[in-house]
Amino acid sequence: MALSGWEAADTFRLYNLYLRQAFGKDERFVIKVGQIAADTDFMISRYGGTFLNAAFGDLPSQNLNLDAPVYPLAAGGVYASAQILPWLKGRIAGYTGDAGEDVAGNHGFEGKLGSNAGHTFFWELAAAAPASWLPATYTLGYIYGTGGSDQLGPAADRGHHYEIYLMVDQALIADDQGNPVLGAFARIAGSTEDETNVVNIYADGGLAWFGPFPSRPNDVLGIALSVLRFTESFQSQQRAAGTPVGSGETALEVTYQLAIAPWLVIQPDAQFFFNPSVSRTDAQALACEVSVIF
Amino acid sequence: MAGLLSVLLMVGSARGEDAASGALEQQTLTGNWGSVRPALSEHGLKPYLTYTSMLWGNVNGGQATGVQVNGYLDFGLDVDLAKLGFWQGFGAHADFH
Repeated sequence: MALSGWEAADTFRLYNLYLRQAFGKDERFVIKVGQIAADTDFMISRYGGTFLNAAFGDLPSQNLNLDAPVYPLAAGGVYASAQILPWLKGRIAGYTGDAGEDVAGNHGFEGKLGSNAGHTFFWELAAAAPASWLPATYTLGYIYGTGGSDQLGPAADRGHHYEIYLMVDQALIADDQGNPVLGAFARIAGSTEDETNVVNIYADGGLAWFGPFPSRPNDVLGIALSVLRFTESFQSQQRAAGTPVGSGETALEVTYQLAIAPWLVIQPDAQFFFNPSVSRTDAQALACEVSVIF
Repeated sequence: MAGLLSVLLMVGSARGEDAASGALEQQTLTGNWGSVRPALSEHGLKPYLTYTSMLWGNVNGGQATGVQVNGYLDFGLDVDLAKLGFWQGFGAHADFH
């Protein structure tokens, strides 16, 4: 699990580039075509977005299981969403299975199309809680990859594979306007397929407390925990390669978003790693992120 | 990259009427660029630029301990093509990092 969701090769690249068409009142239907990263649209947790560790970002376990384009790379794809009912939104997308390598020199343009690269498809249904409840979104997702060559390592063939995920974003306390004061998120993603996946189960959950001090209404205090388990196949493959990994990883993060201005956020952060997969020794890290919107 | 940044900062420092509102209240560091930004938005163009910097240290355990600084620049452009004379609901987006 990367300490920061921003981890990427030190280079400059094109990311998303697409055309977008919206139809109907309040953009009831949307279609996007172009170079798209799957994690800009799928498995996005409102409260999970508070955290810095890549595990709590969008598509956490899928970064290891998926062939679809995810940060830091985008690739050819088609996306559509529909507000099916006032409380129910559907999203569907197909992407090329090979976004290329994240290296300097290709500037994000190495994605391949066609049956060798394979394709990855996403379906997601997101239901909003009834108006009389505290605000919440309940999401069910399904991911299917056709497999192809050059996946999960150079020149490795990979069969088709799938993954299912469930996600809850639940306000536990809301103010008079219905804005969350305390929000909780929980996600679980997994697959029964062992041989074609790296991770067989991933789960995370956490709390975000908005305006923890009366004088600082825009600050956010958060705590979150993530757990993942590697498949037996991946563990034995790594043992055979001489780079054994543990059975999984656990990370705990405590973070505070100090909102100085709408354009300036300073975020001190502490992360605790238990049984990390490579070093196998528990680790602790401190970080401070500064974000400026120009 | 540094050149682009300094251009944006220069445009930002030339901002006029929004200087009245406090620097900490405005939505972006460089304000409305002396009303260039609202004018662009009027024509369907919404550029943005975000810089994220992270100082982090592995204090104990793991593979290695130490302190590191990373910077991340993300910028892009949202285009509402309907405002540029195309049909309703048509748009384009590009971003880089």
